[in-house]
Amino acid sequence: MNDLQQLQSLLRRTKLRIRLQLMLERATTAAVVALALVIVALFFYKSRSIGLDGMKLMASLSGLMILAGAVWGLLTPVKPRYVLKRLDLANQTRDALGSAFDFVQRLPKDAEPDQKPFMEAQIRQASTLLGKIDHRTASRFRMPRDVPAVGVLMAAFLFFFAMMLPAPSSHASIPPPEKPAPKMQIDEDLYNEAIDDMHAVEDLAKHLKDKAMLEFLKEYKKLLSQLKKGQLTREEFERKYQALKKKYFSGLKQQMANAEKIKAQIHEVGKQLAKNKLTKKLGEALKKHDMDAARKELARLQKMLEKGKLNKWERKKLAKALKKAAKLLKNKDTKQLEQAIKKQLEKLKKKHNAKKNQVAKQRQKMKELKKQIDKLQKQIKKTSNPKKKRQLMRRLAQKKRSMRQMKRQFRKNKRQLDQLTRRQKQLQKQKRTLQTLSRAMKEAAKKLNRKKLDAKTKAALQKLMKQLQKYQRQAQRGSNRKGAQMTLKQLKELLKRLRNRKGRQKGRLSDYLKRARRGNKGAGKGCSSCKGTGKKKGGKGPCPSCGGSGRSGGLKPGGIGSGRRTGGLSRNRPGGKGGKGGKKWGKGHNPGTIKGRATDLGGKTVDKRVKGKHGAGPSEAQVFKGSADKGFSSRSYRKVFVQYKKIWQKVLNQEEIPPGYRYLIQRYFRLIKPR
Amino acid sequence: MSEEAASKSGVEAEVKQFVTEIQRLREEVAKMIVGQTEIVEGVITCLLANGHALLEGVPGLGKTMLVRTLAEAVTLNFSRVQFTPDLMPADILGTNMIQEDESGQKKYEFQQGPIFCNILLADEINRATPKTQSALLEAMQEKSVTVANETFHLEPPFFVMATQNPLEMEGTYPLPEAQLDRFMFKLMVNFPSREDMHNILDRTTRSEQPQVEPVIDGPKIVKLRELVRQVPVAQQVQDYAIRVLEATHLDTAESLPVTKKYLRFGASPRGAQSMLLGAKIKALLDGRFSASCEDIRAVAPACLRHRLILNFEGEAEGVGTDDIIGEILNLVPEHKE
Repeated sequence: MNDLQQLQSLLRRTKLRIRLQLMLERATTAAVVALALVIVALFFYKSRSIGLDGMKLMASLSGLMILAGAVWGLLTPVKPRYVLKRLDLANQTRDALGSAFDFVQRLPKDAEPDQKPFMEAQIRQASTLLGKIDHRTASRFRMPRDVPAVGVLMAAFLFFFAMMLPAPSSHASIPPPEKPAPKMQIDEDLYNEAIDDMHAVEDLAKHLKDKAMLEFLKEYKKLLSQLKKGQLTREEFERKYQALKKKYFSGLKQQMANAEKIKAQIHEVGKQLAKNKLTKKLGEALKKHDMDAARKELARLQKMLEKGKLNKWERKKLAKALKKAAKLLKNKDTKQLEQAIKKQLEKLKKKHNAKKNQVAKQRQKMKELKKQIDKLQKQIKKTSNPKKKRQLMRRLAQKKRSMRQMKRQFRKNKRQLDQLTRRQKQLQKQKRTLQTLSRAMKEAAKKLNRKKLDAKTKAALQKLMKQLQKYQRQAQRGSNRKGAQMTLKQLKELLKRLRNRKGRQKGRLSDYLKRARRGNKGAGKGCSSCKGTGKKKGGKGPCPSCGGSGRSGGLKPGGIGSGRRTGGLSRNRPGGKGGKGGKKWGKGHNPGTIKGRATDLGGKTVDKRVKGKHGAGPSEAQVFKGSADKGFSSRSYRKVFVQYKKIWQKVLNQEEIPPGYRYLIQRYFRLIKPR
Repeated sequence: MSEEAASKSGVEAEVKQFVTEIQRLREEVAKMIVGQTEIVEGVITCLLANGHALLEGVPGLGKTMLVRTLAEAVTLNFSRVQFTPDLMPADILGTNMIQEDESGQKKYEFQQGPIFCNILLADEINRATPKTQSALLEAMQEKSVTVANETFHLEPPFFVMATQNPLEMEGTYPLPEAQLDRFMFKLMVNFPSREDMHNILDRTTRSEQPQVEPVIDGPKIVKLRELVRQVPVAQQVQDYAIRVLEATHLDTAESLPVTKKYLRFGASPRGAQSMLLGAKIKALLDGRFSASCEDIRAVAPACLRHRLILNFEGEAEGVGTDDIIGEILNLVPEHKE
């Protein structure tokens, strides 16, 4: 028992020494990493990338790292067998201690009877050795292997600390004044271009009495004038742009998607109506989505009814067609669409309610704050104590600041609430569109089926016409909004190109001039056919080659040259210089060279036909049946342009064109606009 | 004296006696055999561990002398068989011969071969045919001989010392690996040093020839063998022996680059058994009561050198198994978590 205690004591002492050594080793290793980290942090501190707080944090982390390493070393489990092995090796006891320890554990249960005496003898032998064992030899202190690395890093740290970049001064240096951000400015031409783009939208908005669009246009013009005066920086423009976009065009994508679905349903109705002879034209108009034509057709039908041009059977047929059309508007697709819009409405309603509550709460808070401000003001008036007065005034100023912030937030929330309300209304209108159309058609059909035609029949048809008109306005408002959004995007595109324009324009101009200078002064030779005489061979009549002038080449001194070098086909590489021209007129010309060298069509070409795709937009073509005579054109360019303007504007609105390309297309038409 | 005290003194006394007797044996052998202490110790270890020894060395180094001296010192029956290519199994084991009794009746009687002894010297075992070799090796393993369906047990202790001549290998039948595995130790008999040579010449070229006295008898050897088996081995020491063995294999967790590079096959579990028994005997000879890792390291070369099979690269580069074992012993740590 005594021996066992002695052995365990020896174990404990050796373990402790081993742990301490491990602790030292691991702390040194951690110190290497920590020092490296500190050096990096010091470098950044000196170069002012991080502040003093950052430096302190890094230094603390490094210290913690070293501590963690030490703790890790101290807590590393050290097994008794390992310790005993080290003791045996160090004291050359030939595993006596390790074996004795093993036998002590095995003796009670696992030892075989014939081996027991030996085990006990071994334990006794080990006990005799215990007094001679020096535990220090088993766990000698040795220098951790990372100490040299720590030394090197320490030297590096001192170097960085003392020698390199100067330390930041204790007084905060005055930062250099910030360069003001450059303002964006557009010239008169660009301003006019932007205004022109909006004309179509403005006209339609006025015609449709679309208040929201008119408000938008007002703000848009204000933005343009600010740009013209150079009052906005890029960031400010971006902010206003985003604010406009959010205010007037949020939810537009969803709205347009719904409108497309409604249009599809009306198209189906048109197809159905087109099957009937009476309602064929009405159906065709609805298919093309031409509500004006549809209303005209309805008006014609109404007149026919009034004049009695439709018999009973035809009336019934008309009523049946309308009834079928009305039923079609209540089919599965319509219901799905209504459900989708309903879901959208529900989402919007939630947002709306939340915003409404927020606005109400804010209003309440503002009221309370107002009361507090009034109370403070009264107190300030009453009090005579200057110290108290100052305190109250400070509190008042604070309250006023809070009030201003709250007002700003309130206005923002109110705007958002208005937007949500507007979107809700639009969605509700969209949801009701097909229902009301269906109802109007059904009513009209019912009235037509009556024996006697009266004012109610007329009223029903007029109601249907009115519904169609309402739908048309709604659709037009939607597409007008889309057009306005496109125009706003274009403004951004325009400003993007503004940056590069000035630099490139000069380059383009010079390139153009270089290309225009191609063409040489010629050799000034006489015509080779008539040898400069200007007369035909045989002496009768002028020379067919030079026309009787006797000159070769062109009309200018020196004539036409061919200054183009081979390979000068790119627009940035001008042709070569021609020869120097003569001082006198040429005497004739050489019919052989006047046409110049024939084009070398050495390469084979193959004609290929590309199959194009007809876009959704309208197109117009004019077929020339005969060649035009010499003289004035029969149609003024202005009229042609106006006609084409409608078409390209329609195409731009209907087709999905990227803003960059849209810009180029509009620019092209602007350039060919008659002045 | 209490039981505990009795057992205390018993074990120590037994070990002390063991040491004394083996020391006396060594001294007797040393009268005839000059130097070669490792070989003598190895042979004695094999004898005490109930194993067999394979000696390899050029002729004239005293291999036969050693075995004969050992046999004389332990008063055991000694036989020598010179293996030749025409040696038959019956020449070793014995055969049935027709004998005439007193009445004149003839009958078959089994005539024991030279194998029926306690110590057998099988000289140049690699000269005999595989059939003859296997007859001997079978007897070594089974400690019995079966002839004509009759089994004859060999009297314990039965110890075989086989020799191989590293020269003149042409026309020989090298023992296959499976057969080599039956030998506990393979001992390399080296040429004696100059000092030893002086001693040898002094002893053997005089008129006075030393005489070997018997010091231990057969039953004593058997008892000593039992004592060896009682020696315990600590778990970590046994673990070390196993790891050394595993290091000789290519596909174990302990295998080393040198193993993978030069060896085709590693040692079998018999190798570990030999190491452990050898270590126990070594510990006892040192007066200790349990084997240590140092003892394992001391006996490992003799236990493993004939059990490792070199691959082509090892043979081509002329790498010896002793070198590989040395590398393994250097790299395998004594303690592993």
